[in-house]
Amino acid sequence: MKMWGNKIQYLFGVLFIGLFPSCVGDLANVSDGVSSLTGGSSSGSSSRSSNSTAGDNSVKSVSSNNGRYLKDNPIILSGNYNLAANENLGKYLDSSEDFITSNTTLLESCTANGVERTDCLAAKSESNADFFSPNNNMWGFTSTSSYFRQVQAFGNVRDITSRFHTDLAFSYGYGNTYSYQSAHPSDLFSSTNPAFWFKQDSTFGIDGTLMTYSDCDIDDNAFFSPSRLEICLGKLSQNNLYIVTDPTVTFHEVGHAFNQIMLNTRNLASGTSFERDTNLGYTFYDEAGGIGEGLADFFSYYMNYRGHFGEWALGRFLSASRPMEESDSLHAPGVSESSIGRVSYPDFVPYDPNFPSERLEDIHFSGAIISHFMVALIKDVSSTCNMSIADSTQRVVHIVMETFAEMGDQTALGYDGATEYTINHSPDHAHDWISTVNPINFRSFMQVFSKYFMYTLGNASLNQCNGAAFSQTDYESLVDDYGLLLFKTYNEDGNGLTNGASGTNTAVTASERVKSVLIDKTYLRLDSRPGKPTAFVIDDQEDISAAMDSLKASGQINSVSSMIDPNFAYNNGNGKISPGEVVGVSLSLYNNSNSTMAGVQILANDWDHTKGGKPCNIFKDAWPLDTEGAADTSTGEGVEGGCDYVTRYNGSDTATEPNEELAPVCFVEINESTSTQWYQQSKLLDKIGLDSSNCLGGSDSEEDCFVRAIKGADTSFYSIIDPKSTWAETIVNQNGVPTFNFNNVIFFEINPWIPPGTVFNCRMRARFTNCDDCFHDETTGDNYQDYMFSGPDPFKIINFSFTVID
Amino acid sequence: MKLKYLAIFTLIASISMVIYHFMQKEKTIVKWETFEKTKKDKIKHHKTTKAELKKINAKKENKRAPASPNKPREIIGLNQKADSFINKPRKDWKEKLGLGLLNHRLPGTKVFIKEISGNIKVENGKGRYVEKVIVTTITTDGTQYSFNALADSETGEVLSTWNRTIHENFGHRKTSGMSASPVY
Repeated sequence: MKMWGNKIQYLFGVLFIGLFPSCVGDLANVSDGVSSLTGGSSSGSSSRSSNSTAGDNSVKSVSSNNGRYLKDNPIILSGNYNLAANENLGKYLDSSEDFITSNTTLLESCTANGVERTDCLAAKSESNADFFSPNNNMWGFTSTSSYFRQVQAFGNVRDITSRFHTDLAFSYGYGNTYSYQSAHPSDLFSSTNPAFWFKQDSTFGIDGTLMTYSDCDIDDNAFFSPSRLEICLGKLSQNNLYIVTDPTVTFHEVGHAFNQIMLNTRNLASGTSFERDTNLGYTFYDEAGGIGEGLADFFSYYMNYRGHFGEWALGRFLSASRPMEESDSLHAPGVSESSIGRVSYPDFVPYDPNFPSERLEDIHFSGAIISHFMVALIKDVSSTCNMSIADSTQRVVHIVMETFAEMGDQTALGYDGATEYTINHSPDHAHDWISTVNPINFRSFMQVFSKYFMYTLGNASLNQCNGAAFSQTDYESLVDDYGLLLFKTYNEDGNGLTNGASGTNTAVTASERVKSVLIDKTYLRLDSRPGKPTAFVIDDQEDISAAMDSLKASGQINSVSSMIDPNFAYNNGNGKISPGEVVGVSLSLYNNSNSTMAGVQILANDWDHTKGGKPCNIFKDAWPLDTEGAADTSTGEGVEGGCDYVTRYNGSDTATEPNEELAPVCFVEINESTSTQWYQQSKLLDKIGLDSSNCLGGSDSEEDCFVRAIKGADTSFYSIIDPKSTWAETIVNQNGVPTFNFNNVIFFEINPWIPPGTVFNCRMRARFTNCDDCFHDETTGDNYQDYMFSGPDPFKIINFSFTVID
Repeated sequence: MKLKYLAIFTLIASISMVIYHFMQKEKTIVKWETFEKTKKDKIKHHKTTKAELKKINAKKENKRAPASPNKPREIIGLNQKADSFINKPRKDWKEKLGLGLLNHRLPGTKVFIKEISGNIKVENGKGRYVEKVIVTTITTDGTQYSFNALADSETGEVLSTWNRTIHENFGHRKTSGMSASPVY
C-alpha cells in the first residue's frame, strides 16, 4: 500500500512539473528555506574571479567546494579591540580559499585513526531550517549573510573536530606503543561500534550528528545539548552580533561536546547499553561543572595557542571574555606567573577577572583555575622538554583524554584487562558515584591527570621529555602553584575492593605542598556560634514554585511527590518547616579552620548507617544515645549487617549481604511512656495509624514516608567557605547578603500528614575538596576504596534537627 | 529532434525526482509530542506542530528511518537476565509521562517529548520495561532545556535523567532570587 502511495506521489510530481514547469525552481527554494542559493549572486558561475580579495567573499571569488570563514575572532584578526559590531567582517577573511566540503550540504563525515564515521557533524542556520545547497558547491558568501555564518560554524567545528580526532588517534597510539596502563579502550576506533564520536544507531533513529546552529534564536547565550547533540549559537541582544562570528566561542561549545565524548569512550566501546551517559557537572554549581567550563575555554587555546577566549562576542560588548594566562592584562593586580601569583585554588574559585572585587559562585569562573593550569603546563612542557607548543599541547591533551576515559568509566574497570572494579564502584552504581556519591572534583581530576602525567611525560623508563623524564618535583611544584596538590599519592592501585588499599602507590613529595592546603574534616561543623543560624529555610510559595519549576525543567529532579499540592499551597513562607510544604534547607556550615575550605558538599542521599532498622551510634557524631534508640552493637559486629561494616555493594546485593541496606537520612522522634526514641519513619506510620499509601514515595517507601530529600536536589554545594566563617558570610552580594542558588539548598518534601510538633533529625554527610581525610586515609595517603563512600568514614556527619510546625 | 525530447525527458525526470525527494522528506514522521499545562491547570496533549518545533529548535528529522514500532528492546546494563517483570508496557505511558513532567510546573508550561527507544532494565533479577526519551521544555523566562529521561513503560514515571543542556548565559549573573529565613 505504501509503495503504491509513493508511486502515486511520484506520478503527481511528474504531472505537476509537466503542467507548471516554472514553479519548480520556487518549490525547491521554498523547500530549502532559502530564496537564493548563491549568496546574492545569480550567475551561478563556477569560474573564480582572478582578482578576489579577502573582503570579496562572493560566490565568484571561490572555486567549487571552497569558501572562506574566520579562523579567529575579528578582534584578533583586526588588531582592533574597539571594533564596531557592524564591522564588515569580510575584511578579515583570508584571501586564500578554504576547502569546505564536496558534499552538497554542510553535513560531513569524520575520520579518526582511519575509521570513517558518517554524518558526524553538520551546520544549519537554525534547527527547523533545511540544509542549503549552493550552486556548483561554491561556499563563498558575503559576511553579513546567514549562509556565511553557516559556513563559518561548519568550518570551525570541522577544523577543531579534525584536530581532536588526530589527537585522539595519537593518544590511543601512544597508549598502545608505550608500556603503561592506558585507559583507552582497545575498541576506541572499532568500525562497528566507534567510540570516538557520539553513538549512532539506525535501529532507533539515532543519527549521532553534532548539529551546530549559527543563527539560533536566543540572546546573549549559547548552549550545548548533549541529549539532542546540538550546539546553539545565539546573538547579542544589544547589537544583534552573531556569536558564531567569534570562533573561540564555537570552540568552547564544541569543547563541551568533546568532554562528553572523552568521558564516555569506555562506555561506548564496551558495547554495553548503560542507562545514562556520563556527564560533567550535575548541579547549578559544582566542581565537575567548573572543570568542564575550564576545559571548554582551553579548547579555544587548543586552536589558536592564545591565552584568552571570547574577545569579540564576549569581551568587546559584555565584559565577559576570559583569560587563560596570568600575564593577561585583564587580570587583577597581583596575578602573575610567579608561584604566588597563579590563579590558584581555592582563592580564585569565585574570581571574575572582569569584576575582580566581586565574588561569584559560577562554574565559568572556578573553571579558570583549570584553564590557566593547562596553559601553564603546556608552556612548561614546551620549554622543559624542548617541544613546540603544538607538540606540547598534543601531549597534554593526551593526558586529558586518558583522564576522562578513566573517570567517566561506567564499566568501572578503569582500563582494559583490569581484574577488579578500580573506579566508580561498580557498573550498577557507577553513575551514582560519578554524579553524587564521589563526583569529579578538583582533587580527583588532578590526581588522575597527574597519574597519567607520570605514566607518560614523567615516566623515567620512557624518557619522553627531551630524552629524559619530566621531573616529578617540578611537576608537583607547578600543580602546587595552582593550589591543586590536594592528593597524597598517585593512587596507581585504584579504589577497588581487593587491591584498592593494598597496592603500591607513588607518593607525592610532601615538601612540594606549599600553597595547597589540606584541612581536617573536624574543622567543618554546623554553626554553633551564639546568635548565628544553623540553617536557612526557604518555604515561600512563589520561591518554591519557581525553584521546582526550574529544577524539573532542567531535568535536575525527576518528580515531586503526589502528596505535595500541585501549586505548593501549603507553603506559607513563615520560615518554618510545616506539613505539606516543600522546603529548601541551606545548612549553615562553619569553617573553624584558619584556611579557606572549598568544594563543600552536603549529601542527603541514602547511606549505610542503620542496623536492624535502628540508627548506628558508633560513628563520630555518636548519635543517638543508647537510651534514645540506637542500634545494639553488643553483638553482630565485624560482619555484614554490623554497624562497623560498610556495605561493599551499596546495599544492593541481597544474596551476598542480606543484612546490609541503605537508609534515608531523616529519623523521627517518638515519645514513648518512659523516654523519647529515634526511629525510622515507618514507626510514625504505625503510631498515627496512617495507611502507607499516603507516604511521600507511596506504599513501597515507608522509611522516608514523612520527610524526604528530593532525588536530584538531595545534595548541596558551596564553592568556598572563608576561615572562621560560613558560606553565607563568604559569598555575598554588593549589599553584603548571601544569594542562595539551587546548588546551595537541599529540597525536602514534608508530608501533610505529619502531626505538628513532630521532631525529625536528618543525618547528612558533608565533605570538601581540600580535605585531608575525606578522600584518602590521612596516614597512608591512599584513596578510600569506592565502597567506603556508602558509609561514614569519608564524611563529617551533620545532624540537622527540626520540629514540624503548622 | 529526438535528442531534444530526450533532454526534456531527462530534465523532467530529474526535477520529478527532486520533488519526490522533498515530498518524502515532508512525510517524515514527527516524533515529538507536546504536553501543555494550561492556566486552569488542565493538561493538553497534541502532536508537536511545526511552529512549536521551530520554537524549541527541534532538529529536523533527517533521512534516517524513524524508530520502528517493532524495534527490539535492548537490555540496559550488565545484568542481562530477568526472571520476571515488575511492569507491563502500556500504550499511554507517554501521556502519563507528560502529565508527570508537568506536575508541579508553572501554568503555561509546555514540555515536548521525543521517544528514542524501548529498553529493559534488570535489577535483582526483576525486569522492568522502560522508555528512553528526550524531553525539551521552555521555562517561563524563555530558557530552553533538554535532557534524556528514562521512564517506566507502564506508569510513565521518570526514573532517571541525564545529558542536561549546558548553558553559557554570557554576561548574565543568574541567581534564583530565593528569600531564605535563618533558623536558630
